[in-house]
Amino acid sequence: MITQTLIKQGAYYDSVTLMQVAQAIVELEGIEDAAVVMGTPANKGILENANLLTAEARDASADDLVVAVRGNTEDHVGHAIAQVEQELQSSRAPQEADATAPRPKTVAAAVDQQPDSNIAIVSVAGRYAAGVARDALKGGLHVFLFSDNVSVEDEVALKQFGRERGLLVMGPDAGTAIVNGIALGFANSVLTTPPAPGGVGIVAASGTGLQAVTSSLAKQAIGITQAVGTGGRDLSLEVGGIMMIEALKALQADPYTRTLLLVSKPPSTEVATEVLAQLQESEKLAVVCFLGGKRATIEASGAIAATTLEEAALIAAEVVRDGDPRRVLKSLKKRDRQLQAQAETLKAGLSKKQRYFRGLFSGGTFCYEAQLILGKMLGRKQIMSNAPLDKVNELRDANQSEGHTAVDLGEDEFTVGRLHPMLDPTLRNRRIIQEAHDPETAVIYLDIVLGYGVHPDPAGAAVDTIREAQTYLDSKGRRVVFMAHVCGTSTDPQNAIAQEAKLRKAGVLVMPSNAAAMRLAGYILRPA
Amino acid sequence: MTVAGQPQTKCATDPTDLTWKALRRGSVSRARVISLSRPVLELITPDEQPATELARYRSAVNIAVQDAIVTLVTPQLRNGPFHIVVTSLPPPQVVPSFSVYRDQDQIHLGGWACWLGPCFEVWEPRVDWAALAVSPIAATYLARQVENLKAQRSAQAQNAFTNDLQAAFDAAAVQLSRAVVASDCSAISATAAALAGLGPGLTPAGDDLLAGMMLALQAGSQPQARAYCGTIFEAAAPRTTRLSGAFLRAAYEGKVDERWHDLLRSLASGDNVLVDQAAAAVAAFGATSGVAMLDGFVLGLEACRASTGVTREQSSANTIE
Repeated sequence: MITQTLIKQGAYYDSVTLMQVAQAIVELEGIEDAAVVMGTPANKGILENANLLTAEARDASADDLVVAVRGNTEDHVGHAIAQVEQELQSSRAPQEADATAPRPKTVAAAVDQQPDSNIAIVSVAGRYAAGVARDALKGGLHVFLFSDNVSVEDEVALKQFGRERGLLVMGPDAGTAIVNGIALGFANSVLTTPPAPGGVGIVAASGTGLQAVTSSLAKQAIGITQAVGTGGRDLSLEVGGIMMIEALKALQADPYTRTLLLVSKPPSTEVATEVLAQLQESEKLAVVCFLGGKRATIEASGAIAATTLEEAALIAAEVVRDGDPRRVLKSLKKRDRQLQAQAETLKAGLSKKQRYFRGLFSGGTFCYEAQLILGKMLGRKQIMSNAPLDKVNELRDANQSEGHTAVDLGEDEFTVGRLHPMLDPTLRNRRIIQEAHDPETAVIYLDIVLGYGVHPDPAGAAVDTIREAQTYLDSKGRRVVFMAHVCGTSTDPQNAIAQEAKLRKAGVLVMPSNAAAMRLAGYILRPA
Repeated sequence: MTVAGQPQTKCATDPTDLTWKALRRGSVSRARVISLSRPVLELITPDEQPATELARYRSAVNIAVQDAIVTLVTPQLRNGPFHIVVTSLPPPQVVPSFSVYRDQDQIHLGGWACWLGPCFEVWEPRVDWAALAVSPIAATYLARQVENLKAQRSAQAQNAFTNDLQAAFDAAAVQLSRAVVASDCSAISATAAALAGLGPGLTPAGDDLLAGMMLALQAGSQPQARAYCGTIFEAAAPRTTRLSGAFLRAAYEGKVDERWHDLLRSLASGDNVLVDQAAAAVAAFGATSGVAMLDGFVLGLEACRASTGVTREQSSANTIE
C-alpha cells in the first residue's frame, strides 16, 4: 500500500467541493482510503488513526488543505492525486456566461445586466456613435470609441464631457488600448505591471503605434501599466489633445507607472506645447515619439525624444532599467551599418530597372513612419502614398503605385463596405501580385499585425500569394525582395515566432521592426 | 445610510471616477454596497489596513483584514457578521496583499472599490439574547427536524476515513453536552479542543457544532453561558482555520447571520411552519456546516434544559398535554 499527500497551502474551498472531491477519489480503482480536509490538529489526529498521516501532512497548518490518498500502487495514488488537482481547479473555473440571458440593446440595459462595468466599447455606425458614447459617459462609463466617421465637433464635445466627469474617451477611431491588463480593440498579449517589472505607461494617438511599442516592450520583458489610445485626431488643434493630457495626468498620478511613453504623429504646435508642459508636472521621465516632430522642442521639456516607434520602445525599456538611453542609439547605429552591408548583397540580385519600393501597409502609423524614413533616405518628394506626408505626394489612384509607394490599405478608399486589411487580406494579396507584375518593383513590404481581434493567421494568408508572385517572377527571370515585419508577441493568439517562421519559409526577409525594414529598403534603393 | 429593516432605495446617482489613481485603485467598479454589518463598518476605517484574499467562491470572497475577516457576498447570501452585501463581486486581486480603507463614498479593497453612497443599510448581527425566549415546543420540533436532516446526511457514501471522522465527532459531541450539563469547565475545554477543526470543509463540522452550542447556551439562558462560551472559544479558536476562528468568535460574541436570526425568531414565535422554513435555510448552508451547527444548537438547548432539570421528553410530554 502507498500513501501520498498533496498539501495546498492557504487553499480554501467550500465544503461541498471538498466532499465531492473526496467522494470522487475513493471511488477510483485501486484507492483504499482518502481524505480531503484542512490540516487542523483534530483532523491530523483522525488521519493518523486512519494511517493517512504522512510527514508532509504532519507539517501542514490549520489553513492548509491536506489531500491524503492510500492506494494499491504509486500509479493508482498518483492518478488519484492528479484527479484531485483537476477537480479542485475546475471547481474554480469561471462560470460560462448564461447564453439565455437577454442581450442588452442599450448602454443602460447593459449596465443593468452587468452593474460593475466600467468601460463601454462603442462600435456602431459613425452617425450613431456619438450618441451611444454620450449615453455611456452619462452612465459613468469610460468609453473606447472604435467607430470612425464621428465629426470633430462631436469628438470635442464628448471629450470635454468626459473630462468634466473624470472619464476617458478613447477615440473615435481608436484601434487599440490596454486598460488594467485588458486588451481593447486590436491589441497584443503583452506584460503588465504589476506583476511584471517595468511600469511603462503609454498614451498614443495611434493604434498600430501603440501595438508596436507595447509588443516591443513585451519582447524586452518590460511590463506596461496602461496603454491608452486617444484616437488619431486628439492632438489636432480642434481637439486640443484633451485626452492625451487627461490620460497623462492619470498616469502621472499612478503609483505603478514609472516611465511615460507618448506616441503620435506630430501635434499642432499649440497642442504640443500643452502636452509637453503637462509632462513637466511630474518627476516621471518621459519618452516622446512624435513621428516627424521636432526633437529640440521635446528635449526642451526635459523629455527624451525618439524618432521611430522602435527607438521609443527601446529607450523606454532602457530608462526603466535605469540604463543610458544613448546606448540604444549606439546599438541602432551599429545595426544600421549591418543593414547597409546586407543591402549591398540584396541589391546585387536586382536588375537596373528594378528601382522602386512598394509598401502594402495595414497599419496607418507604419505607413506614416515608412514615408518619414524613406523620405529622409530617398527624398521626401519621392515617396507617394494615398495617405501622404504632403498633399503633393498623393497618389492619383490609390490602386496604382507610382514610383516609391507606401499604400495604407486601412484608409477609407479600401475599407468602405469591406473589412479592415488586418482582418481581410484579400486586397493586399491582390496588390502583391499587381506589384510583382510591375517590372520596376524592387522591394515589396508587408506589415504583419498580430493580436486579439485581427486575422487568425495573417502570415499564412500572405505566403501563398507571395509564392504565386515568386513563381511569376521566376518565369520572367526577375527577383523581388519580399520583406516583412511582424508586429506582435509570442503569446499573441497567432504567435509571432510561428508567423515569422512561415514568412521566412516562403523566402520573405523578416525584419525586427518597421523602422529597420525601411532603413534596409532605403539602402537597397538609394541611388549609387 | 438607512437602518436595518427599512426598505432599501435605489440610489439616484452613480459614482464617477475622477483620476487615473481612482481608476487603478478601483473606481472602475460600479458595484454598490447594499448592506454591511456594523462590525465591518467599524473595522474598515479611513486608515489603510493590510489585507489578503483568502478564498473566492461564486457568491462570496473572503478577505483577511489584519486579524479579522470580511466577506463580500452577493445579495442571495444575505447579511452576516462579516458580510458586505454588494451588487457584484470584485475581480481577483492582482497582488496577494493590498490595502483596505473607506472614504466618504467608497470602500476600497486594493484594485477595487465599491460605492457606499447615501443609501446602504447597516445591519446588526448581534442577537438581543436577553429578549429572546425560545418556545420549548418549537425547540422540540427543531430537534426532531435536525435528527431527520442528520439521518439524510449519514446516508451519503462513506469511506474508512469519514467513518472515523464521524465517530470522533459523535463521541466528542456527546462528551461536550455532558460536560455542559455537569458544569465541568475543564471537560468543556477538552472536548471543545477535540472538536475544533474536526471534519472536512472550510469551517470544519466540529467548529460548526461548537458555534451552534455557543448560540444555544445564550438562547437557553444558561446561567453560565458567558463563561462556557468563553471556555469553548479559547480552547477551539487556536486549533482551527483562520476563517473558522473568526466564525467561532462571532458565535461567542452572540453574532449570527440573517438565516439564524430568522430561525431564532421562529423559535420564539413557536410557529413550527416558520421553524421548518428557517431550519431548512440554515441546513442548506455548506455540505455539512448548516446541519452540524443545528446539531450543536439542539444539543446545547437540551444541555441547558437538562441542567435546569427539564429534559426533551418532559418538554414533549408538556406539548402533548
